[in-house]
Amino acid sequence: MANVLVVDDSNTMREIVAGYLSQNGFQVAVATDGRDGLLQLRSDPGIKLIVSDVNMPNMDGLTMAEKIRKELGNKDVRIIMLTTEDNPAMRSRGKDVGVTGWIVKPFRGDAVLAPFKKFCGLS
Amino acid sequence: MTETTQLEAKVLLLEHDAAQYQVLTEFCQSVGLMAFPRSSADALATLAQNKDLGGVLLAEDLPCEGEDGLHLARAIHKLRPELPIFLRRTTDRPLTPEEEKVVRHRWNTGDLDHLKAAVEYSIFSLRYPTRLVYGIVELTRSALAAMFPNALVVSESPYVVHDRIIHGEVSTLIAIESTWCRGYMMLQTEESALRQGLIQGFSYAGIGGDLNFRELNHMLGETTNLIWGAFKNRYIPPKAFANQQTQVPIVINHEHKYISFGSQDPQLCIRYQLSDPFRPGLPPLMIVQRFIFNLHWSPDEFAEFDAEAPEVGPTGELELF
Repeated sequence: MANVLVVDDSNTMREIVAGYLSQNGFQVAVATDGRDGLLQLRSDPGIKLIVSDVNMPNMDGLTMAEKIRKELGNKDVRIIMLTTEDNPAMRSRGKDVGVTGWIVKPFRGDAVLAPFKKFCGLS
Repeated sequence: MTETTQLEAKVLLLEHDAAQYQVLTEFCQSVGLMAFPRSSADALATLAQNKDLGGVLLAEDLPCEGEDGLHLARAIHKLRPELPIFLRRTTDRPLTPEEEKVVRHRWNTGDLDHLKAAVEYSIFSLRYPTRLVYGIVELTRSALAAMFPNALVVSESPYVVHDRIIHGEVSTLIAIESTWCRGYMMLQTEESALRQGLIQGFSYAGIGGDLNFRELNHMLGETTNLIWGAFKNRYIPPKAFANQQTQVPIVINHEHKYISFGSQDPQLCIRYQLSDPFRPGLPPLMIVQRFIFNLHWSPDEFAEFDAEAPEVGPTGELELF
């Protein structure tokens, strides 16, 4: 059972983020896009944190977040967008659909480790 | 007025006259051309080795296998028609129509003002603002450092090219759209050099798996994404977003004839055979068409559209208003 789900269409980013989190005590599942992320979340109720890209094929990260809150009715899982996007309108949309936080790539593990551990009850 | 960068361009310098060689070397330095001086015998080999040229400076009377420089001009144009050839005339004879097509500009010995104007027109036809060029360099170096944290990243001086030949086997392509531009960014590299860099530990430990070509493609794809994002955040104002759609990098590996649009979904493929009706025994020409709806695909929305689709008008007919 995983406590973190990393959603990114980039295999390299999945390896970087999942690799770092695994080395720091997290149980990590991965998904290749928003659609896959929804499937993973449905099948693993232990996930407490989702770290997701925004721009992905098939289903983008914000649409996935919206579906998690509305269609799955899951208000508890923390959703952090890890993206190259930094425009205020997109952040605002993220806030509206229930995103918990926003990180502009590149990923710096040391900058997020403490809050991520807190979200997953590891601290 | 926006300050623009005097970028450089690499040119093949094919000149045998010692005095003219000196004049042209100084001219090149003064207008931002990096000259590669070569003899006629080495010209084509140099073309093969340098795929990022901006043009060719050629003397008409350059000895070339018993003929003049125009013989070489034809050979260069056949190989790389995108490279403008600047011919220094040494005779009064009119050029043939074929030679006119091959040579982009003709100039008379000593008329450097004419040559400069021709170089400005054909090589430096687009001017790039200084702040943009150096901004791109800065954000790209930052993205490369993030993806390859254990590598030393150095950028060479920016220059312009007219060659359209791709460097290496692995390349990416992503659309760039702003209020002030629409186009693409490419990254191009050699597969073996990228693999070697990762073996040497340029990136994070364990990244790249067994370093097969798909893993290498992913590395370059994500690097592209990072640069694209930084470019967008710096140079694309919010008002441009209204017309902007999501983009993901397209990764092409020529060595393996591989192209990825980032999606795992099946592509719609249709093959067309074109054959000679009078020679049925000959193998047909095969043209393959593929549709890749990697960024958005909704059959339901298509059904809605199709139900009320406007009738398509006739084609090839003149419509007078």
